[in-house]
This record gives sequence, structure tokens and C-alpha cells, in this order.
Amino acid sequence: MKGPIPISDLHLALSTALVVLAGVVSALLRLGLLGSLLWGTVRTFVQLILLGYVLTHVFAIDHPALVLAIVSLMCLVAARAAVSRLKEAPEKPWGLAVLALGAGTFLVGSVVCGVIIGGERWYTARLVIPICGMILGNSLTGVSLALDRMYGEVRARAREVEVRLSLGYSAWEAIRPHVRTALRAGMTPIINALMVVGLVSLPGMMTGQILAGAEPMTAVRYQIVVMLMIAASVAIGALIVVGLSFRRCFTADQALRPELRGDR
Amino acid sequence: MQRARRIEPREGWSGEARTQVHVSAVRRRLRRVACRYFTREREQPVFTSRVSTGRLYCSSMARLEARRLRAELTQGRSVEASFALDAGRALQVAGPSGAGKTTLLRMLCRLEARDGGELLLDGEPAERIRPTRWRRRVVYLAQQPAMLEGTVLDNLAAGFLPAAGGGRFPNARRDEACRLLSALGLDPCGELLEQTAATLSGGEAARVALCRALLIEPAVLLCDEPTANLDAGAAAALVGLVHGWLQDGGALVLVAHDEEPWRDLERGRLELSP
Repeated sequence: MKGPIPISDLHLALSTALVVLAGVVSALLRLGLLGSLLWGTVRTFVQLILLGYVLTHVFAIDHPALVLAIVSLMCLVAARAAVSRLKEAPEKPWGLAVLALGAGTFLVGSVVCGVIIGGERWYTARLVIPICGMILGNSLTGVSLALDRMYGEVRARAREVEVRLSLGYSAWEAIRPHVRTALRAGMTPIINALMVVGLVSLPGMMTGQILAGAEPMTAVRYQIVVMLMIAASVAIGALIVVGLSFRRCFTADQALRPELRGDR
Repeated sequence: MQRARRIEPREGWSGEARTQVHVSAVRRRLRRVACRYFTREREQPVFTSRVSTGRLYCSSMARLEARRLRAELTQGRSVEASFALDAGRALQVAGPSGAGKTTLLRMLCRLEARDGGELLLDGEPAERIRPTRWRRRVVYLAQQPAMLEGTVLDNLAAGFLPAAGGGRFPNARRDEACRLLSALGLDPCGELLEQTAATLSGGEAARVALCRALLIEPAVLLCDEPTANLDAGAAAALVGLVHGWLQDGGALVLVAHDEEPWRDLERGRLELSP
């Protein structure tokens, strides 16, 4: 098995020429994205090179406590990202997002690392960190979509929720149809990905392994595990975050909170 | 079993009342007549600051009382009201737009938080009654009632889903629903019951919403402009139905700008200052 083909500094610099192309389009059409594009390019360089150094050291130390600490930190950052773009929520439930993402990641991550991929040193940083990274990256989208959709639905259908409440439904029963819609919204991207994987998209992980010289069948097996673990963790994360935050739509008296009933 | 579950003991019933719950339909009707008799007998004014010591044993009758019930409105204004409403009585809440009529109604069914004062049902403070149970007894009808997903029948049955602690929608209830709908000038024998509720007109929706509320046999009905979307004939039919319901021991809190359809209804009046 041969290793990946290395990219020299010169060739890395050449890749910025590609982003210039996008920049020209943006400037010509006055999309107002040029600044963001430049800043994004710089951030990509800095963040990934830093990550490279950090991972080199972490892999060298390879202590379980350090791995745990890094995964926890990743959870916190992912939770922040998940709630920061919520438009509809009256407040940012970031504690719940930490809980949901953490539970999903640790549950699915330990099954994947410990049982499915396994091996003698299943807790090694080289295995745990990329796996948890993939889980978190995907479930944060699911959690964020589900939360935003739930608050959006409740806002848009506040009158229906109140009709159910005034017929004596409990808070959970009154909001249940909207919780279901929210969970569907959170799960849709991963369901779509499961449908078209290999037909439309060649997933990054598999591509990486093939570029690194792995046999396609080995890469495919890994990819199947990755897809399924992502589906599971998205479902767990969305379920936990919606299940725990629906109460925040209501007052102690099981009435819809004033901020959420714009129309009436 | 069905019936026993539907008229389960209410919170705050005394022990002896609890034993009287499983009664036949005939005995239940007799009790209802007796209740009506007793509420007339006591001859209490509609508004009073006195608290009744007598308890009503009918499952769908109750005395609603508000003591200095207060809510802050926007722009530094507030609404405050005190009243006691007995079974069989009606109370009209009047006042200019923005005086807090809707807010008051919503406070009475606890969809709106109150900023002060007390709210009692049969002398029992609201804090001691679960909100879900409270809202099955004190039902709020919004000015523009929302229809839930599904057909008109689904909407009428909504109060009987296990979700609301009601059990299945029995056939007897279905007949009752048809009777109410035709009393309101809607034709339940046609395709109305199977019609998608979202396609109803404003006036039809208002009447279906009233049926939906009456079917769960509340003790108090809070109606916000129930005749606003109706023509004169339909409004008269609605007032007639509500009148009959009041005689059966219901209690009504009403907000109505157009008082013409309600002119024959004996009712108290609560004036809210702007």
C-alpha cells in the first residue's frame, strides 16, 4: 500500500488561484461576498494548519484523558455553532445542545470506536478524534435544523397550539405534531445523503482513503459504518434537543409563551 | 366504562361526591335539573365579592370567580376585574378596543399569565387545579378560531382524543355533534363532516369551533366575538343554542361589540375602562 501523494508548498499556494476564480465571479456580479471569501480562505489556511500541528502532537501523546478532553471541547464548540444561527428561538438553548450533541457523540462514538472498528487500542486519538469529528459535524446540522424548525412551526401555528391547549391538551400533546415536523426537518439531510451516496456524491472520507491508497472495498466498508453512525447520532441529537426544549415554548401554567404567539 | 371515564371525579370534590360519580344517564339528568334549581334558589347576584360555600355536584357546572384579577397590557396600561359567575349565568365584558377584553378572557382560561389577583373555580384556587383540567372546564373560544388539521369530524373529535384525557369519540357524541351543528344552521348530513376543515369559511369555522368546545361539556365558556363572522340568521341560531346551554347549567363570559343578537339574553355586564 503506497501512502498519499504529498502536496508541496508551491502547489498549496497554487490552490488559492482557484478561489480567485470565485472571487472574480463575486466581484463581477457584485454579490458582496468578496470580503467573506477572502476571510474564509485565510481562516481555512490558518485553522487547518493549526489543526495539523495540534493533531501531530495529540497523536504523539495519545493519552485517553487528552482524547476525552478534546472530544468534549469539540462538543462545546459544535453546540455553540448549532444554536448561534437559530432565528426563531426566543433564547439560545445552548446547554441543551451540549447535552444532545454530547450524548449522541459519546453513545454512537463509543459503539463505533469500541465495538465496530475496535482493535487493541480502540481509544487511540487517531481513531476517536476523526470519528467524533464526523459525528459532531453532521449532528450539529441536524440539531440546529430541528430546533429552528420547531420554534418556527410553533410560531407559525401558535393559534392551532392554543386551540389544542384550550381543549385540555397537555403542553406535549399540543405541540406534538410540530415536534414531529421538526424531527423530520432535522433528519432530512442525512436521509437524502443515505439515498444518493455513491450515486451522486463520493463521500469525503472514502475519497480520502482511496487517495491514501486504500482498497476501494475497504474504504466502502468504512464509509457504510460512517453513514449509519451519522444517521444514528443525528436522530439521537435531534430527539434529545427537541424533547428537552419543547417545554421552553410554554410557561409554568402550560400556556404558550407570549414571545411565540405573534399573531392572534 | 366509557361514561365512567368521561365524568371522572374532578379535583376538589369531597369524598361523598366522589361516590356519586358513576350514575346512570337518567340520574345525571335529574341531578342537572336539581343543580339548576339550587343555583336559582340561592339567588346570588351575578357579581359579588362573597364566596359561595355551597358546592355544585354536577360534573359540568361550576362557579368561576375572579378577585382583582390583573394583567399588564402594552403602553403601561393594565386591566383589572373582579366578578363571580355562577352556573347558568352569563356575563358580558364590555369596553373600548384595547381595554383588555381578550386578555381578560385568556387569563380566565389560563392561556395568559396573570400579574396579580386570584382565580377560583368552585372556590378552589387556580394554583391547585392542573391547567389541562382547568381548560377542559373553562374553555376559551378565540375570535378567529383556528381549525386543526384534518376533516371537520377530526376537529369535533379533537377534544376526545386520549391526548386530552377524553377517550374515543363515541357514536353518541357524534350524534350530539350533528344535533349541535344543525342547531347552528349547518348541515351535518351533507358532506360537512368529511370536509377538510381548512376549507371552511370564517362563519362555518366559528360554528364548528363552538360545537368542538361544547362537546367536551365545559362548565364555563369564554366567547370572544362569537357572532362577528355570522349573518343575522346564523347569529340568532348561535345565541339560541348558547341560551339553551346556559339553561342546562353552563356559564358564559362574552365579548361582543355587536350586542343586537344578544339583546334577549339575560346577562350581567362588566365594564372595562380604557
